[in-house]
Amino acid sequence: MKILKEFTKDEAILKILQKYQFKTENFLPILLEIQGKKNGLNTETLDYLANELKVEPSLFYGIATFYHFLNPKKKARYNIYLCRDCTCELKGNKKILKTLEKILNLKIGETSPDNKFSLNLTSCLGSCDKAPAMLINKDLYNKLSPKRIIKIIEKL
Amino acid sequence: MPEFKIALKNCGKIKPFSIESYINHQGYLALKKTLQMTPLEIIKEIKRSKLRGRGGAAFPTGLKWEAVAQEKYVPKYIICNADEGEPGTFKDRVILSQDPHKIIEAMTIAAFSVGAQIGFIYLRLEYPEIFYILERAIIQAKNKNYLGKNILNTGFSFDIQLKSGAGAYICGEETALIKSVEGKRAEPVPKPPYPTTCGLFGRPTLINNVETLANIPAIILNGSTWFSEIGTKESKGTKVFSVSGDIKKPQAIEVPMGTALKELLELCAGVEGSIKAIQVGGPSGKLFNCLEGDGLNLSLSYETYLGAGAVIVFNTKRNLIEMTRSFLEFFTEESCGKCVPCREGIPQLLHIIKKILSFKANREDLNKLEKMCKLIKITSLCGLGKTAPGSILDTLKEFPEEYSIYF
Repeated sequence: MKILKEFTKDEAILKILQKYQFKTENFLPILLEIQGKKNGLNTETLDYLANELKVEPSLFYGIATFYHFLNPKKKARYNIYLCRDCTCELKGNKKILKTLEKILNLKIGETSPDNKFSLNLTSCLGSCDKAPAMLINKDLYNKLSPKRIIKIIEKL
Repeated sequence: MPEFKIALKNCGKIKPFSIESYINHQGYLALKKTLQMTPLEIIKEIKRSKLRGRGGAAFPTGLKWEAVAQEKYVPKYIICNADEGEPGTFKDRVILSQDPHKIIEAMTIAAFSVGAQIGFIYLRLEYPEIFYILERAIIQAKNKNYLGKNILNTGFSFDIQLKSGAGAYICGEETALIKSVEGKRAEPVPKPPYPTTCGLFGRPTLINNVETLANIPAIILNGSTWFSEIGTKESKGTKVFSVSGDIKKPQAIEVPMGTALKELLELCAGVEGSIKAIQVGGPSGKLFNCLEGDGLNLSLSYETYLGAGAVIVFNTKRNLIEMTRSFLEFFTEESCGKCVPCREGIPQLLHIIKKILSFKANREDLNKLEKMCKLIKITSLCGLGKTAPGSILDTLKEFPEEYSIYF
């Protein structure tokens, strides 16, 4: 399919594509890296990618909406992913969530107006021996308590 | 029975960033030994050890290797499944972060046995620190010629690439994992054909769990007889349990197969409060009632239930219907959406469970719940949908009194 749209060359994206040799099996790392660079994966980026790789844009929408850590929405500077699952719930993740909602003034799935924080729930982080746990971008924080949470957020 | 460490043997003893430290603890000795053997001999040894898959499906490892080895199509691939996503499971994180070279060594042995030249470690994105540990370990192994071209001058070449997931529980299912490595949406496909014949890029592919691989070097070094003398009749060797929940010392702990639950809990410093139940194998696993009879004498092995070895402990203060709700929220989120019964059915189960928890359900809802559970169980394609209703059926059977409070 031909996309009836003119695209301006995006050097940053092309560089990433070259790094992964334009190969279809590298779509996941390509999308993850572009997401980091472009602060999210909007439709234009996905369309441009599809055009460069000569594939249907729907293929990329399909992938970008399937995986939890790929997000067609804009990314914040600090993306918080609090573990939702069983052991963390036994160890009080609800209290942590309440504290986060209060100090960030955000609800689950929201991003702050200054684009500094986003608050998300995620599936098990494999940190059940040190529950409750959360990720902020790529950093793991565990053995959380409301007190610790306040300290962690203050430092960011 | 005390702890018995095979997969976790080096954990805490060696430096994960140092290949020398691994070599000083018998590292890469098993690889050297296997390179002197024929692939057939190695596979025979693994078959004799009766090692079975530790990721939950319990398939005999030797048979899987044999199946791939017998395939004629090339290239063949091997994949290490490090997409540990089952809530309550963290054993692979412990193994990979503390003993990465063991997995590289085991994969190289496996590749030599089945005739693969390229291997992948599919690591979940939630473990970013392990990505760096593995990346470094692969480079070190290549520098010492335990990996790469012409390994130890034997003419055998094998390379490992790291593949990172992007957050999807379903990728632990092998056909979904293959799709994800290929860069697609990770939706499971019906089997057969099995990955051993038609796997990654349509080629024969061996997929093993991290813990399964972690047993390989020890089996090669100590022999299959040594290994098969540990454990029970159907379950040989040891199992790493990820113990969490209401337990004083939550940890990954390795014990011989068939160890009684009571002993396992004692090794973790005992239960916080008084025990009511344990969920073995996470949300997709099985609930055991520990209040009555000899629940605590339960022997943990493939004969009873293992899954991937998560043990979540619940004390008498916990509400097990809330547990079921948490499990269903997890499955609702993680269903890949391919099959209707799973995608549409699980949210309906969650809806009724929430209705029960808010005292709004009637007896008819309960009947509907049971009926739907059975339907989803038999009509779903993969393990996710098949096991998702399990916690409802288990709680209804083992703890019906918890439901009666709400009616």
